[in-house]
Amino acid sequence: MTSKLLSPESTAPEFEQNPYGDRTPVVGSLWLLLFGGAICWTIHLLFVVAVSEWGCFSGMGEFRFLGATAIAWSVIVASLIAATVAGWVMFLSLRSNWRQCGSDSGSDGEDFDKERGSGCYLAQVAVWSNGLFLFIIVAQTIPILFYLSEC
Amino acid sequence: MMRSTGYALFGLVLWLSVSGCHRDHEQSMLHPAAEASAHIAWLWWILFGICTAVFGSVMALLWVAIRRPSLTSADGDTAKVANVDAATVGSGRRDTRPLSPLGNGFVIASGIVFPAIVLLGILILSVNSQFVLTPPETTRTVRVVGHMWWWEVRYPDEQIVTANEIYIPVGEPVRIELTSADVIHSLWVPNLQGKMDLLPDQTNVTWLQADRPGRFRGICAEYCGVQHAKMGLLVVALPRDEYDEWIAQHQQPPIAEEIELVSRGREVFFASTCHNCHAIEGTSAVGVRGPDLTHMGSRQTIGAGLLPNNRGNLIGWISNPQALKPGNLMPRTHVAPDDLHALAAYLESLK
Amino acid sequence: MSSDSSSEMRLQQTWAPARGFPGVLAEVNNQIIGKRFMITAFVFFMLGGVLALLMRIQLAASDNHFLGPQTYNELFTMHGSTMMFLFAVPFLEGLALYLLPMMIGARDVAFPRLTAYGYWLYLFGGVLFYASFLFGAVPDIGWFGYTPLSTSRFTGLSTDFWLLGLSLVEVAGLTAAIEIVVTILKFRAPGMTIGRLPLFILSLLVVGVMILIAFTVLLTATVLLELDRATNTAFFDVERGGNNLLWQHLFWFFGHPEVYIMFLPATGIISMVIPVFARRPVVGYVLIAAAILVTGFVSFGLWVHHMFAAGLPALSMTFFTAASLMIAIASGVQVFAWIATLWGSRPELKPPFLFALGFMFLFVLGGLTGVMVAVVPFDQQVHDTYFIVAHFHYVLIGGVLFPIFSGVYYWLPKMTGRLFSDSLGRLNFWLTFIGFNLTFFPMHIMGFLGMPRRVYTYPRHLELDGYNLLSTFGAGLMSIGAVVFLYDLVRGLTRGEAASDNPWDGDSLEWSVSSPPPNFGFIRFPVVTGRHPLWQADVTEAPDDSALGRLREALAFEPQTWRGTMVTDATDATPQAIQYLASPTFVPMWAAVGTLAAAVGVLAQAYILSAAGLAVLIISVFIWLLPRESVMRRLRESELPASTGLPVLSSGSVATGWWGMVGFLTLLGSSFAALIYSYFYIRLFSPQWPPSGSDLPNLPLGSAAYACLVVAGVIHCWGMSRFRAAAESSARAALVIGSAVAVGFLALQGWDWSRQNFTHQSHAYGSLYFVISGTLSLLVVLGLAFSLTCLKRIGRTDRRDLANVTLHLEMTQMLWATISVIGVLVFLTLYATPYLL
Repeated sequence: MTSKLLSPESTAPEFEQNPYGDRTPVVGSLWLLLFGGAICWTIHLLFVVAVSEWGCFSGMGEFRFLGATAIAWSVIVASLIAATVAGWVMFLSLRSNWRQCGSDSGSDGEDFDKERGSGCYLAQVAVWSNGLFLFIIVAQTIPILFYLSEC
Repeated sequence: MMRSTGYALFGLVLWLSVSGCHRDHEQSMLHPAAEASAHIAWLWWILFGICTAVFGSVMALLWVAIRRPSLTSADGDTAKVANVDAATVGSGRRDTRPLSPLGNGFVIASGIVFPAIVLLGILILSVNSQFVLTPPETTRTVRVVGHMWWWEVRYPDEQIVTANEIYIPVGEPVRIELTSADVIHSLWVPNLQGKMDLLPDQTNVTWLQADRPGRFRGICAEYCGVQHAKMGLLVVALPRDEYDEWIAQHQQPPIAEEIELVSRGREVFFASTCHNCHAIEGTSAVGVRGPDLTHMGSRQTIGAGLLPNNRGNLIGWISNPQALKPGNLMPRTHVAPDDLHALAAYLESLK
Repeated sequence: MSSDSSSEMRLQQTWAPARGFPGVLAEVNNQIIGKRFMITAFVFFMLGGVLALLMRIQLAASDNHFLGPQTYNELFTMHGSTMMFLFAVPFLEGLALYLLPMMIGARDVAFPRLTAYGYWLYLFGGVLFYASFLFGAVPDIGWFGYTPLSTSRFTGLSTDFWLLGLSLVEVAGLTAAIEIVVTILKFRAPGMTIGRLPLFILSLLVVGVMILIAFTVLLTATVLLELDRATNTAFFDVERGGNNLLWQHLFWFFGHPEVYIMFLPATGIISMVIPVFARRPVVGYVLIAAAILVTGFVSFGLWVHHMFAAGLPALSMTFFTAASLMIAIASGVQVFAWIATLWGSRPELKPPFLFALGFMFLFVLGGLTGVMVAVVPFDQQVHDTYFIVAHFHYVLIGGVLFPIFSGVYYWLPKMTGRLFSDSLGRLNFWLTFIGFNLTFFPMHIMGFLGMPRRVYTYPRHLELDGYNLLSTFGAGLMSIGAVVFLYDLVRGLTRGEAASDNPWDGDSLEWSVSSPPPNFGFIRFPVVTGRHPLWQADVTEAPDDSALGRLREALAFEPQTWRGTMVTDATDATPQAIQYLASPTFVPMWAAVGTLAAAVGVLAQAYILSAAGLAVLIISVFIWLLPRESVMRRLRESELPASTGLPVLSSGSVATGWWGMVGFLTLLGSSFAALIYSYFYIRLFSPQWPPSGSDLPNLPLGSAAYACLVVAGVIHCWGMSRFRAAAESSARAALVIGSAVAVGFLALQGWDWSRQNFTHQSHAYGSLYFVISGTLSLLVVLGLAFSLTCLKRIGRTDRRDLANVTLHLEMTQMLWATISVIGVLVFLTLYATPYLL
């Protein structure tokens, strides 16, 4: 019980060093990547809803350009930006998936459930959640095609 | 899955009983009498078809999953066992549990790709329907104001005020402007149209159109207090000529028959508290808390769709409204039985 | 061996539950409080069920007179509120608090006193709710409390009971959320990396964060409504520029995530049960994890689908249709992952698994009707009809209650050490399953035939009698099921066979401790090497020659004289520190009593009582949060740092307190987001801003005041960096100057208040201005309390407490940084917006 785990020199322990394992490198940025698609989606939804609510209320729908209202144009532009950013995040996730999990890991197949450490796991979850968010952003853009010219 | 089959049978029986044709269905969304409600009913049957197919397939898969003979991926490939962290593999720690023969590919195909396609289809269907159901252009407007627990109905262009009944001409869309005098209500006439809330904050707009003459019942669909359950209304669709006649008649002040009972009833009306809350056009009764009674005699129901409008019900209602619709805002009126009879006769005569 | 058993006895003594009458009030252990949560929630479930039965009797026939309209409206309000607020969420929280440490290899949850405080608030809130029956003022506004029906113009005391009872329960939910999130992040056994969380734990992690955001928004909304009622502010008064749709937006921004807050842990339970009965690892772990994460986020973007009939612009509704449809993908992933896991596994149909199967059947059906109601035109027909009643009961009973039953049958042997009857469990399943379908399936059709929700009766000519009678009959069957369950419970507890430690051959860590488990769970912490630890050969062992193996032995039976557990890294679960955990204490109970008194004071309009309650609360919190010398001494004298290399006092992201503060700040952020959203929403629908007769805000004065806040934040951050550089006197100076500047803010803000020619009652603009700036000022007072207590400790405590003082200062600095950011946003909202928009 009283045996010293660490070398005798370290009776005054240095807490900055952890003898019991390494922390996964680059994990911090992976956590960010994990939420990238979600953040894109959140901002996109808030923006398009605000524009359509406020726009329809304030008469922004009267203002037309090339047959579509200013509301429709702002939603389309916002969607393009959001989809591009989400796509970029998706690409980054795929790249880190490839880096963290090794090149042999396809995104399907049985060895997909194989564990390769936290970094790989976070990258895998990032790929799928960002992929879903990208899809949701695209799906949320479809309605505007019906409402190009009115509220 | 025998239970599931039984379940489906049970559903079928219920469905047959819904679609049975011995009923008048005056408050049913599956018996549409308008383009809008017919479109929504069509939408429902499409959704029902898609969802039944999906539900059936998922349950069939689940059934097969738990009933089929024991299977593991090890049957074909002994290498496929659950994995452990590469770092600890060296220390010989290994899970001996066999894996499922189905892997992520199955989950991705059936849980992501397939639903994504179906849901995109439903999304397009939904937005398209919403677009198709944009309010049509029309010159006819009816303004409905929600009250606890009755409907004030105004024809602003025709200068008509009535209550709990909306008359519309067959085949023409009528713009309905909705607002509320107190809490939030919701107008719902299932045979004709989806519902729309009546808010004290803003005027909402919907429209009603009936493709055939008839009586369609509506009801308040947003909880609005103690008598939310008995806040009904009637939409009456008339052929154009009858509708015009109705409008013309309601633009005139009521013509009360001048018989003795009626004139005594009028005296009772103005001697008691009635006129504090109710208005009758062309008289000194201008109360606004209760429904306008100008053409009371021509209304089909009393108490907001509660009872058929006849003398017996009218007497019962006036003598004790709290028994028929507990909690409503009309107090009991203390009128002698004879006077009550006269009062009812007077109201009946207001046509 | 004998030294082992005496060590174990000492460990047991340290962790012994408090005995005797007042003792039980002081209990803080997660297992005991978790059980109390579950039992209390179950009692409320029974009450809610009785209310439902009464309603079903009333509706069994048309024009029935069993209940009057008033009573019926009270019952459906209480039924909905009870099931949502007093049963489902608290039960799952209780289950989580009970199981969480055991499933991740810890001895208790992160903040034991907070657990106890949360439980008392929940109990008090629930009792306050039901006390309305004694006063004949039962809430009758529905569980959604739509304004203006819930304003003081239309309802009296009953709505105050609802709002205040609810607020207490919401705060309880928030405490449990912080508890759950921090425990999962910091107390996991070594090796249980973020990628090896049991899926129940993963869902709880996501749900914890969701609660922090969603419950705070609801709490903010209820406070605004209570302010309207008690102090005549104008947030929801149309006459004075308020807006009723604002309540609906705020309520449903909580209300929809709420559904997933109940549903996600339920799927987590299913993801634990199914692999065990399939006797193989779950398929698609990563996909399920991604699905849980996506569900957590997207659930916040669906709220408008509860308002499709409210007259919003058509275009903005379509975005919510899209989101509402797409969230179904995330649920689909989970369903197919479970089917894949079960494929050809020949599972035994024992009660936990039967309920899991029943869940899949009902949830898929309810989910599909959910897809239908995302379609706007269809929803406008079925919205607020019995079709919706059917839909959400399929989702909530099928999707939450069935998994809860599954989990209860699964974990009861662990909790009680007894085995329960399989045949009674099966009987309960079939009664509940058949009864449920008989009750709720016909409701789909009733909706089509024109039966709106929340009606106490319906006319005969609608021909709904048959369906309603069937439905009432089904409800009777379900209640027989509940009686069978109760009988099984009593029979098992008194006569059940003893359960082994792992009766189901489960894979997760809780099955490695004895049944029932000791209060401290583990003597030696387990070491995890995979996602299904107990299915791996020697999983809870670490090689003795490794550093981890030696640490494991060094921490066996330790700490012995005080309650403690090991802290690990949030991502990789490598050991970082040892955490002191509080022993039984009455402080949480007094804090809860103070909170209750404050609420009752508002209810009874006896504000002196509120003040007294607040005083008790504040004193209790001070006693609670400030370190006690006796504890500090014990920690200073501990030999564990020397023997293990792990500190017993920690700071920064190692410390649980730091993470607790992050949780608290999230909650603050969410609350201010809701307030600022309210400001802009009301602004959007106001023709003139500020309303005529009210001056534009004083920009120079506002700028000066809010610049003070930013400066105070910067100075506090600077003080932190000086403290890190061991310059304690400059750190002290920074605290003093920072606090003084913050007082300057309070003075300037107060001056600005006194200059206004309107009050919080004049119009919604005034209400927003005073309530938002007032809330911020309260927050500044809290910041001052942190600064001053810090000031008292810097340079005046034992050097060995340095880590603890650092943590205190870090929290202070984080709070001030947050206050500065919120301050800038509030400034832009209150002072700049009237000029710009």
